[in-house]
Amino acid sequence: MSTELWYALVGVVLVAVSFGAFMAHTHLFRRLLAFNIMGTGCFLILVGLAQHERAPDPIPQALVLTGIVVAVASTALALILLRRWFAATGRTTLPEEDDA
Amino acid sequence: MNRRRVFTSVALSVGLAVMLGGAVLTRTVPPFDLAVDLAKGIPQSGVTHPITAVLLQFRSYDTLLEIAVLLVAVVVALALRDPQGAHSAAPESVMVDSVITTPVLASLTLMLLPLMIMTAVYLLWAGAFQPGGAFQAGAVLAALGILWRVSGRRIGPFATNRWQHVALLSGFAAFLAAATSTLLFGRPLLAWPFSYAGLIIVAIETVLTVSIGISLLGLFASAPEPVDKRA
Amino acid sequence: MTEPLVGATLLPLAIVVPLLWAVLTLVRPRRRPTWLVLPGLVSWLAICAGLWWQTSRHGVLTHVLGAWPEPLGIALRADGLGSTMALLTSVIGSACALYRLWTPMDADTLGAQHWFWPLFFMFGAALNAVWLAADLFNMYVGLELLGLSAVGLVAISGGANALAAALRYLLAALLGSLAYLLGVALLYAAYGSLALSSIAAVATPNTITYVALALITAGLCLKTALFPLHAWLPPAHAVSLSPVSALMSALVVKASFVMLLRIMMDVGVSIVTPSLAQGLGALGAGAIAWGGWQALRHADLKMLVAHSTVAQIGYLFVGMALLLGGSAPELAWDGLMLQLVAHALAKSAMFLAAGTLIAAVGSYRVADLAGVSRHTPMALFAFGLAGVSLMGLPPSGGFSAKWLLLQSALASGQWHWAVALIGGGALTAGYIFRVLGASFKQGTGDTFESTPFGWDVVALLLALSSIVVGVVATGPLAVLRIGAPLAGATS
Repeated sequence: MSTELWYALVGVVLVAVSFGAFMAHTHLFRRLLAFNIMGTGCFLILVGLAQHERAPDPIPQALVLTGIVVAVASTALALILLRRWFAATGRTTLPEEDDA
Repeated sequence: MNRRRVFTSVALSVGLAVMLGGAVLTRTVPPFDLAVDLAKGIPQSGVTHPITAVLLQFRSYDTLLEIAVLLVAVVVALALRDPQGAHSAAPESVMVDSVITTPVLASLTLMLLPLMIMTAVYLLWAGAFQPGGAFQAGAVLAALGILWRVSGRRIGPFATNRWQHVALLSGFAAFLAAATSTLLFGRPLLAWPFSYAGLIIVAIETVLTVSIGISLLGLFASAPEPVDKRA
Repeated sequence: MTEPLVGATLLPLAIVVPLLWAVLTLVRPRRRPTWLVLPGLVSWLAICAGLWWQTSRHGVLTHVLGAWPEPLGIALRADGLGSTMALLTSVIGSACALYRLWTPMDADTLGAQHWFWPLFFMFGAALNAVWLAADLFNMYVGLELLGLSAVGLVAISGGANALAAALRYLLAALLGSLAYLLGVALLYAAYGSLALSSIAAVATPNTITYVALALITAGLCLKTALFPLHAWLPPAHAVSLSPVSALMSALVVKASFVMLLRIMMDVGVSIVTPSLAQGLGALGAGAIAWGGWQALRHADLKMLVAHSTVAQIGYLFVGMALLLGGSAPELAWDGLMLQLVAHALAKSAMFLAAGTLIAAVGSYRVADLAGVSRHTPMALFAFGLAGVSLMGLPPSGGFSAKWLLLQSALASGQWHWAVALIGGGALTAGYIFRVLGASFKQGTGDTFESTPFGWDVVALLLALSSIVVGVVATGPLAVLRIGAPLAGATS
C-alpha cells in the first residue's frame, strides 16, 4: 500500500465519521466542525487517490488550495450567521431541532 | 441525542465508509495524465513552480472565482455587522471577551509585527519557484491582524475606513481588470501574453495578498459582539 | 469570419460584466444606486441576448480560457441550453432588479440592505458561470459562489427568521457541494481529467464511477431540493425579500439541476441505469404530491408559493426520468427545456406578484387577502396568469412543456408519469384557486397600502412571457436542441 492510498483511506474514514457526526448533532457549531473535517477528508482523498501509483501531480494539489479557500470563506460565513443567530435568540440549534 | 437519530447517523456513516472505501480501493490507473501536459506547458507559463502555474495560468479562472467567493463572504459579513440599523456604541470595537490582557501577548505582538510582515513578503516572492504564493502570504498577514486585535489594539473601523475598503476590493478588482484586459488585445480571457506572464502573475499575487489578508481579518472581526446570555 | 469570434468573446463577458458591476456597486454601497445599476442591467441583457443569437446561428460556441486547451486548461461552452438559461437569467434578473429599485425604502431601512447590489451581481455572475461551464471543478467553484451569494441575499432580508433560514440553507448547500466535490475527486482519480467532454469519451461503468456519480447525484439533488431533501427550501424562499425569492425559485435550483443533467448525459450516458432514472422520477412524483399538498395547507402565501416550487421541481425529475429511461428522449428533452424556461418565468412572476399583494394587504396570510382584487387587480392578474402556466393550461409555456412530457411518457409506455403530470396539474389548480378565491372575497373594509405601479408591470410582463413562450415555442426549442447530447441533435 502506497502512502497516497493510505492518505485516501484516512480521508475516507474522516469523511464517514464526520458525516455521521454532522447528521447526529443538532448543535450548529458541532455541525460546522463536522463539515470542516469532512472537507479535510475530501481533500485528502483528492490528493491521495489521484497520486496513487502515479507521479506527483500538481493539479489536485492546486485544486485543494482552491478548495481550502472556499471552505474557509464558507465556514467564516456560517460562523458569522451562527453568532448573529445566537446573539438574536440565544439558541445554538435551529428552531425545529430544539424539541429533539 | 435520541437513539433513533444516533442509530441512523451511524448507519449512514458506515454505509458511506463502505461505499467510499470500495471506490478508493478499486481504482485503476487513469487514462489521462495531465502532469505530462503540465510539464510541457511550464516553460511558457512565466513561473517555474507547477502549483503556482496551475493556479494562475492553466486554471486561473478557478482562482478568479474563488477570490470572488471570498469577497462575497466578506460582503455578507459586513452586511450583517449591524443588523439593527442603529449604530451601536462601538460597532468596530474589539470583542470584549476575546482580548487577552497579558503584557506578554502585547509585547510579543509588537515584536512579531515586522517578522510576520517579512515572512508574508517572502512567501509571496517565493511562490514563483517553491511552495508559497498569495494565499499563504495573505493568511500570515491575516494572522498578524488577528493577533493585533486579540492583544487589545484597534485597527480602526472596518469598511468605513476608506483605505481598508479599497484594500478589500483591490485584489479582486485588479485580477478582474487584468483578466479582462486580455480580451481587449483579441486574446481569450486570462491569456497572459508570454513575455509579460511572469510579471503579471507577480503583480496580481501582490495585490491579492493584501486583499486576502484584509478579507480574512474582516471575516474574523465582523463577528458580532457577545451579548448577555439571556433567552 | 469575425462573427464566430464575437460570439466567443461574448461568452466570458457574460460572466465578467456582472462581476465588474459587483465591484462597482461595492465601491460605495448605497440603498438605491439607480444610475449605476441600470447600465449594468442593460449591458448584461445585451450580452446574453447577443450570445443567444450567436448560438442560434453558429451552433455551440467555445471559449478557451487562458489559451490553454482542455483538459489541462478550462473552456467555457455555450450550447443551446446554456445560452438560453443565461438569457433567462438576465431577463429575470433585470426584472427583479427593477422591482428592487422601485421598492420604497425609508430612512431607517436596515443597514444590511445597502449590500444587496454587490450580492445580486455576484449571484448573476455565478449563475452565468454555471450555465456556461464545461469543467467539473469549475462548476464546483461557480456553485459555491452561487450558494454563498444566495445565502447572503437571504440573510440580509432581516430578522431572526431570515438568519435561521439562511443558516439552514447554508448547511444544506455546503453538504451538497461537498458531496459533489467528493464525486469529482473520485472522477479525477479514476480518469485524470476534469473536462466533461474528455471524461465522457472514456467513462467506464466500474465501482469508482458508480460511487462518484451516486455522490454527485445526491449532492446536486440536495441542492435542487428534490423531495425528500427539500426541507431547507420553503423557509429560505418564504422569508426572503420578494425579488430574492423570485430569483432563487426561478434560477438557483435550476443551476444544480442543469449541472446534474449535463453530467448524467455526458459522463453517465453509458453508466446511468434505467432504474436510477426511474428512481429519480419516483422522487420527482413524490415532490409533486408532497409540494402540492403542503401548498394546499399553508396559511402563509409565500410558503404556499415556495411549496409550489418544491412540486414543480418534481416535474423536472420526471422529465429527466423520461429523458434517460424512456424511448422518446427528444420529446422529453423539449418538454424538460420548456419546463425549465416556463417555470422560471411563471414562478418569478408569482413571487413578485405575491410580494405586491402582501405589501398591499400588510399581512402574509392567504386568508387576509380578502378584497385585494379590487385594490391591486394587476398584481392579482399577474399571479393568476403565472398560475395558468404552472397549472399547465393552454396556451401557456407550462402547458406545452407538460404536453411534450406527456407525449414522451405515452410513447415510452410509462403511464405512471402521465398520472403524476396530470395529478400535479390538478393539485396546482387547487392551491392557485385557493389564493384567487381568497382574493375575490369581500374585504371587511380594511385599509390597503398603495404599491408601486412598476411592481405590477414587472410581474405582469414576466407572467405574460411564461404564456408567450408556450405559443412561440418552436424557435426557442430549436435553439435549446443545439448541442444537446441526443442522437440526431444538431451541434
